[in-house]
Amino acid sequence: MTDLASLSLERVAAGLRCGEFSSLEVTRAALARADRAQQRSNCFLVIEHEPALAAAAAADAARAAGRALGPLHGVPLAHKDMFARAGKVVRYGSRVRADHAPAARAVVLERLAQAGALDIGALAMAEFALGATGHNAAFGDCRNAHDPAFIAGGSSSGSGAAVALGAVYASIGSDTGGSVRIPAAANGCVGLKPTYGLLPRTGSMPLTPSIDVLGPIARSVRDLAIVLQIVAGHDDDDRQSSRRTPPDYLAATTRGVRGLRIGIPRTEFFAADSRAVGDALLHARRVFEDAGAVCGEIELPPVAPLAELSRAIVYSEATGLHAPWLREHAERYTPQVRVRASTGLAIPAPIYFEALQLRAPLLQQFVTSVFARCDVLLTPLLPIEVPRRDETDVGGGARMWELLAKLVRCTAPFNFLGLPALAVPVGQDGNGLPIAAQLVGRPFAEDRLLQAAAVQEAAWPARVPVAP
Amino acid sequence: MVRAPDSNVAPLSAAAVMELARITGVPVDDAAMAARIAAGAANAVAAVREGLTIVATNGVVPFDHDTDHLAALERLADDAP
Repeated sequence: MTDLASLSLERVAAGLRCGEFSSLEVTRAALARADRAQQRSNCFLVIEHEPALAAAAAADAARAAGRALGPLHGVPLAHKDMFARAGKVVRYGSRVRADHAPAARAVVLERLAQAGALDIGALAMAEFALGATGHNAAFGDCRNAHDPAFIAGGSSSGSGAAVALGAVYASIGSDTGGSVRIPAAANGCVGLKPTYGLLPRTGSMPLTPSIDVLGPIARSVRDLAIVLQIVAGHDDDDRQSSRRTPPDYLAATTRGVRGLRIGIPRTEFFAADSRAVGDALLHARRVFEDAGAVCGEIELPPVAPLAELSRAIVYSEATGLHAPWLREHAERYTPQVRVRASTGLAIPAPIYFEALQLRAPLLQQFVTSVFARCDVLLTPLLPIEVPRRDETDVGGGARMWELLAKLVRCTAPFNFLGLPALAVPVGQDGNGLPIAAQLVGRPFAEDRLLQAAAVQEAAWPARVPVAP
Repeated sequence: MVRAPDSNVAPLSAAAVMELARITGVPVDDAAMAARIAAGAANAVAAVREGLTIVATNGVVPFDHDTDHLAALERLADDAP
């Protein structure tokens, strides 16, 4: 019998459409998998069995009556616990917001619901998305899908682990410094940080409105393209959402890369700190060349300050947003996150303003100098192998701080710039943990990234889902 | 040409952070917590000054550019060859 939870989103949606199986069967399989995944990785904050089964039965009834909603009709999903869910409690991964239950539904979740998707629970996340490892002292750490001794990555830790463990077919997270790409990479999934403004954030937890983006995590490039197509596009209630019409993302996955110019940064900044990571990136380059892409090394403008520039904005805006809760409920924060949420206190307002002012000239310099010479930039996603949980936990000393800095080294610069960046698996380290490449494009060139990622995926087929 | 500031930035003192906490009403428990906050911010502050140096070296005036980052991204997307 087919293991329904192991199918791709595209395959399960097609099977539901043609009546090969019912949403009730698919959702039961997903819930059984979610229960096992929860034991292994603590990737859910809540699994909603009865509501999910009722929604699946309703989806089957609607289909039988000829009222199928859309391309994801009856497909069970779950998302980072930072989206308004129509009256359900949304915790933001924190004890501070234990009674927050907004009546509306976040626009991206509403678009998925309009496409027929079901929502089977809420996924773990770093407290207030302020963490890149998956540690959460309030609700327990989310652990890596492949080996619980290793980090799941964060802050969308539950999204990465639950998708990798086959509990859901895809998930939406958020990315302010790498929070979609890092857990996607650590768990062997595909994850996209879209261009700033491509996805509307209405109804989602703000961390840094000047930088925040939402993004999908999936088990394949095509699954990711399907979800992206549904959630991308303007919303009037998010003034920072673009009015550009998204292209056909699924079609992009079949284009191949013949003639595509792949840029390899000629800078120590993007050098791998691990032989396994370096070898995997070299292999990824060969895959592109064998597929007809033109690979060449290129000089980059200075990228080293970009991650810290991003932090100047993140800390300033985060402290501004958290100030009311810090004044009222400081004791409900876990100590490390409280410090992170308060760090904006020590960033003078002129410095924050100058960081914002620097974005446009540094973006223009980067885009005009880099993307005149290549279409897609290829970098490591993590310059290191996926670290263990104990070596990145509080109290890890200098080694911990070094690892935390390396986790976001290759990702955060593109949050500052606002460029699209995608994590795609390209190898495996000596511990059996995934290695990912990062593909970066010019603004709103997500289709190019999907085009290139599909070629990498063909050469390194998904090692997910893994059995919980 | 914009004159870039010196990019060496020492962290704020714990006492300064405590004073800012008092002014804003955001509680900071003790000098140890204040010192951690100051250390976390110091690199970010230094990076801003380094960023100013980079654009100054290129003769770019930040204030001549879009303050709306989405608009800047859309303009650069439309400039694609």
